[in-house]
Amino acid sequence: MNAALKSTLQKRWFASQWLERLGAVLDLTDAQLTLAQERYETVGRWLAASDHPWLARSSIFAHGSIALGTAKRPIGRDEFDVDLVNHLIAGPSSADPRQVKNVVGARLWEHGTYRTMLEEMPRCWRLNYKGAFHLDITPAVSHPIEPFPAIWVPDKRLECWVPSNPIGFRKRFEVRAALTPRLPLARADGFRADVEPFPMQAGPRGILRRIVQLLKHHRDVDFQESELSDLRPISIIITTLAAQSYERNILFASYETEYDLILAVIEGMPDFIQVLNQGGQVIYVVANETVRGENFAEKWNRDARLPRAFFAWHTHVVGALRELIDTDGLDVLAARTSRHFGAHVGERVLEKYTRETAGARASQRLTVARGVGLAASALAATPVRANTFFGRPE
Amino acid sequence: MPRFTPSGLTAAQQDLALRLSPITIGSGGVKRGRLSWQFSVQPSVMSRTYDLKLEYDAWDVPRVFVRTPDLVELAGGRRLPHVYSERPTRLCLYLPQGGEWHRGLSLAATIVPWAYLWLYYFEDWLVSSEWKGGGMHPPAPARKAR
Repeated sequence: MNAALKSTLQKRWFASQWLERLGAVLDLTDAQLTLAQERYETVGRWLAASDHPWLARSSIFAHGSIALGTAKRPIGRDEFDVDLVNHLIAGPSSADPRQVKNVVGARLWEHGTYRTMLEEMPRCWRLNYKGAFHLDITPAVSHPIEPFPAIWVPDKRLECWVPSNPIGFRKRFEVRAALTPRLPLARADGFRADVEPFPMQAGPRGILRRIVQLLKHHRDVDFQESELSDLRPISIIITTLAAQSYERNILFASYETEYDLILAVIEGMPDFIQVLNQGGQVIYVVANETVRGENFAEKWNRDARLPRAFFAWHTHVVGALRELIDTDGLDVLAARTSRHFGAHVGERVLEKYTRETAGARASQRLTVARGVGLAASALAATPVRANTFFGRPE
Repeated sequence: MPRFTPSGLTAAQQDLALRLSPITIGSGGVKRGRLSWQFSVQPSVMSRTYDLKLEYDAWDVPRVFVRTPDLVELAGGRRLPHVYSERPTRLCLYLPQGGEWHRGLSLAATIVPWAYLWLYYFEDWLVSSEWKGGGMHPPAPARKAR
């Protein structure tokens, strides 16, 4: 492989690891996630223990980013969102959505502590665990026609039920997330000494989850300052398009590095937006594949600013990823990362990288490899002997 | 008076080691007993490429200078850490008399990798303003009595 090609390959390997570290910086901790789960399971038991016949055998489960494994630290506030469905298996589908919601709310109100944390939202109840997370509990009844686990959830105005299938959605997502790319240059242990400076385990959650996490975080930063923050693409659309693009790219293409795959997946997302022409009007459809009758992009067809905002954001995020490769200086890379993914995020990613360098140095595994620079235990490389920087600044 | 012959590697031997090293692609040579070697260093593939100059007389300590880019300018008003001088920018890579380097050691195997490490920490320092490479400063000189 000639030198020029190899050097961009090395940059793309570096970028792959950089993005993985970025994801790790954005992750919630296991402790946070475990605590949230313990709390909502407790709430679920409280709800199911109610005397009200509709709450008999009710079950509580997570949906959204917590369920999918794509959750990340929120920007600008402490509490992350835990989206929950309280499925009232014994609740009649013929019941009024407002009534069903009130049954759930009343039961939460009966609990002395929950009462103090309770906040009503348009179609769910929020329990506010200050400084930690919000539990957003959406009541649901069984879908009267489609088989379990399809459900009906209240619409925003509580006037009628709309179809949903969070469990089905999660299962579909998990199948796609489990697909792994074949990276042609990876050795059995995944570490190519001459291109990859430091060996890194692939994240346990897999590349698709990382992609969704990065996209949502970029979106949050992109729309943070904007007066247009109401127009930000919703997470379910981002997640659906990314998952479909990921599946196509894994099955029908191969890539040299994870960075290349990530970039291709993101670039391909618009391909999965159906654009129909109904009597001269453009209709956007991002269908929920797991239940009939739900178009995630329904609002795009009522407000033309929404699809415009999506496509503009999409151009930004592709540009941000491409820009990462084209840097001259780790400080520049860190600055660009912060610009796109939030204040100080770039610094934290660089800190992680520096800790790895320091670890290799401390255990005498640091080397300098031709064309790569500092690397851990690279073959045919020059070891960095122990030294102490010295020197008097003027 | 006996001619002073330094023990350890000669300048010519150091020159050869530099020529053979895969991480010092550069040019230079020995003239009148002084080795001068210019080479590029890129601490990581996303780092800048720095042009360095190494000077070595076999009876003195090696001196490493950064020619481009201008580190003082990059530092944006902050004092460079771990340098002997800011202009020219002379890097301080090891503890003198600390046993880390001596004339018997190849510069290509010691000073050069340490330069890579220094420049890596430099780029980190540009971001964090914290020198994470460890190291020491010499004690401040004692005040002269009036």
